Amino acid sequence: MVAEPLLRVERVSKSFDGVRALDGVSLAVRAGEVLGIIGPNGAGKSTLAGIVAGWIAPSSGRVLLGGKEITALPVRMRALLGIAATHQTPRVFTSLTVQENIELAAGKRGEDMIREVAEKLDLTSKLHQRASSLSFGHRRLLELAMALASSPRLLVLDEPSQGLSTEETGRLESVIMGLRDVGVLLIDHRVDFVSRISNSVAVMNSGRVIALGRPREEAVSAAIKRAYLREET
Amino acid sequence: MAGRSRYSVGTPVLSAIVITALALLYTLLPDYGRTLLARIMVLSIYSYGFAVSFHLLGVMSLGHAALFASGMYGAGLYALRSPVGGPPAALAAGLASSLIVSVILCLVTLRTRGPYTMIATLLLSQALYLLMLHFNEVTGGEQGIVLPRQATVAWQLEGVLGEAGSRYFIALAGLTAAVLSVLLLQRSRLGRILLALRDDEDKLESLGYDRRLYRFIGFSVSGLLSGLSGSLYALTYGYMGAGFAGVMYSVQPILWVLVGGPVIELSPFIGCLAVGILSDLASGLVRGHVLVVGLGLVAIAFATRRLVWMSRLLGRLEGVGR
Repeated sequence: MVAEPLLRVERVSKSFDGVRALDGVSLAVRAGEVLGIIGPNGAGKSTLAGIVAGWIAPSSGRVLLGGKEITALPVRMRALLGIAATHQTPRVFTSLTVQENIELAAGKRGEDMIREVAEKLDLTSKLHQRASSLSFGHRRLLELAMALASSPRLLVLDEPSQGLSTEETGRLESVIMGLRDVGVLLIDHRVDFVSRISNSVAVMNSGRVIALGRPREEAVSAAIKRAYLREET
Repeated sequence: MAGRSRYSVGTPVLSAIVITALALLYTLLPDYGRTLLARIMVLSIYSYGFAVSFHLLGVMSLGHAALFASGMYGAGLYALRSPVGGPPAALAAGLASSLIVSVILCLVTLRTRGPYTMIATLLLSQALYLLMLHFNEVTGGEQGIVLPRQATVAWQLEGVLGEAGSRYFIALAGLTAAVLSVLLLQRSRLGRILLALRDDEDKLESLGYDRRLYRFIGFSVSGLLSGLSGSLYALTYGYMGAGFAGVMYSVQPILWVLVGGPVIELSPFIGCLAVGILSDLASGLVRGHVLVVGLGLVAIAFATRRLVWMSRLLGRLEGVGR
């Protein structure tokens, strides 16, 4: 018997003022799996992330978490069900210190959790620094640390490698690959980065999934070329 | 300022020094100075109430006078009409009525942000003001009601401290309670959640926090402090009037906080003190003292870049109108 996927997106569409950003997208993410979403600008990747995280309401279609429909659930309820998300532009609480930011996300999970995620993302030396004084890259890592500290079942990462140095990207890779039993919806425009750490990849273009398969699979590679070349021309 | 921790040991120590200095100052001041400072201390509790809303929640309310006046009338009317419990019961009645009004104010403004919150709070406080004028047989309207001396807390302690002394030390006790509340709140988990709420409500919600609940709690704390100030005013000065619910009394704490600056533990008092003393000095020197005070405050605001600080804080209220 095949287990129910952790996340199931069924025929989801979204229009903004008549412009179709997503057109009947269906996807599934299993626990412990990283599903990479690749596509050029305007492909609908971030809209998809927003719909899964609850920031955007779909025009039609369904979103299910662990078999339970969450399409109409507000962001807060999704967070309580175990969905954690990071934004394309990192959002952290700038008046608070790094430690306080992680503490708020960790809730009652305690000191050990804070230390563990801070160590993983090399934020230990910055724990007592105000988030407002962090660089863009460190804010991104802090937002990821907050997401991890909430012990999520599903992690939605929107362009997590953007603005990170090579070293930081490497650390991000090892953190994502080291996650156990957490489903990851990874949205990024860096094909090599996504291909390295994803179990499967969905290629999106003009609001549709045009290919779905293992990274470097022939059909996937061809779809990536088609999507990106179209953007260049 | 960016990388500095909010919890410097200096602020509680400085707060303790200021409170002690105020207690000692009583022996040095003439009667007029004692009365003036007692009034400033009572009003600065109101300033703390506004500061909790502004500094911690990022809510710029233009209706805080409703909270102050409801505390004042709650305590005053209780002291006037009920013989049970004395001043402590009157104080509790004042706090309860300001809490009820703050709950109403909060419920109405829960879905608003930025300028819409300002408009909603202003309208609500004006509604309360008009109600107070309408029911002037109960409230005394603009003329207000003078409480019999026996109903005031100042009278109860007069035998021990004298009239000026009892007013002064009741005001100081209230101010100490306000400073302590703010110190504890800012260092508590609740305080951090309120700051996070001010920074980014949507992000806080995405971590599983109920932004409405926390805004509600924060606003209630703010209402209680404002109500404490109003109650103490009624119980120490023996007077309550509908004028205290007017728009002028909503604008004043904004001015105090603007002049006082960004340190929430002390700035509400410092701002209130500076404006109070400036007003008092100017009123004795020149005829159009309001204009002089106004110009003085504008000068202070520009010289200390307070307007920049305030607009930055308000600029964080993203998604205006959502």
